[in-house]
Amino acid sequence: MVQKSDEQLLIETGEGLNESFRELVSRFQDRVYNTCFGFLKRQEDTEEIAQDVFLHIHEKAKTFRSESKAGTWIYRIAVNKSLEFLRWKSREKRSGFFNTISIEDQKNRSNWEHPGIQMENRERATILYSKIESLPEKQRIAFVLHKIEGISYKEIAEIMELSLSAVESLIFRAKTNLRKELENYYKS
Amino acid sequence: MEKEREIEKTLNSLDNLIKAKAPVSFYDELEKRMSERTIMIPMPLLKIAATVILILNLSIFFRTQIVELSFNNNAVELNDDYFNNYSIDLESYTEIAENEGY
Repeated sequence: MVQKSDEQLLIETGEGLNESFRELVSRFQDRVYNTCFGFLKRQEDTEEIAQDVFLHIHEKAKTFRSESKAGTWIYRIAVNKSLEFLRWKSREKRSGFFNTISIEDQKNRSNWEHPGIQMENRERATILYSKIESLPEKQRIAFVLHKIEGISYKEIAEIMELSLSAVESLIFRAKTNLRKELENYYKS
Repeated sequence: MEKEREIEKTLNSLDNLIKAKAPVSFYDELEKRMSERTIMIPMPLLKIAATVILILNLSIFFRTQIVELSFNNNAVELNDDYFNNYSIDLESYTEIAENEGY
């Protein structure tokens, strides 16, 4: 049996075929989950947002135009949903003047719980990740997609709707900024 | 030198990262959320219902106001008639009294 393409599955999802949606989820769930994890750091948040991504896909599959690849479209939704959630969280934190954050919660927020980090790299990765958070948004998106999800520069350019040279420049600047931040960190 | 090495190691600490995987129950949880969503009344429908209720309430309110106003106007008109008739009666009484020599 010939395997259906991702685009075909997405179109069929838009036509209301649940089996196609199920297949699409099984193909993309790990990629979406890992991408969201790269931005959100916490398992609970990642699970919720990764599901939101698929709910959005299910709702908006009808609007998918086959001009772009299904994967690009899905990654774009995953990035947007993750960033939306982070913005909402920072707004909530700012408006919650009287809210107290428990010590446990603070600890969870500062730690990066990515299950794929090797034990000996855990501490360094946590330091690096805290610096990634301070990068400008576009640099952060490009860097996370490349480092965490291992996406090629070309595909990142399609996801972010930028030119290839713009993505190269974003990642170069991200690395330079991170190096500067780490120099300050290790100096202190 | 030591510091440079440390920075380099930290910068490369995300290399060879094993990708995170979605939990096994991911699709089941997603299906649960999807069924919850279909049970929920869609927002536009809720807004339409709220608008209809508001319009009905307003129309009932204004209708009672209009009825009350027209009732009050009628009452005023009735009172005027009464007083006019009453004054006619007074005139006729004066006439009778005069005729009888009071």
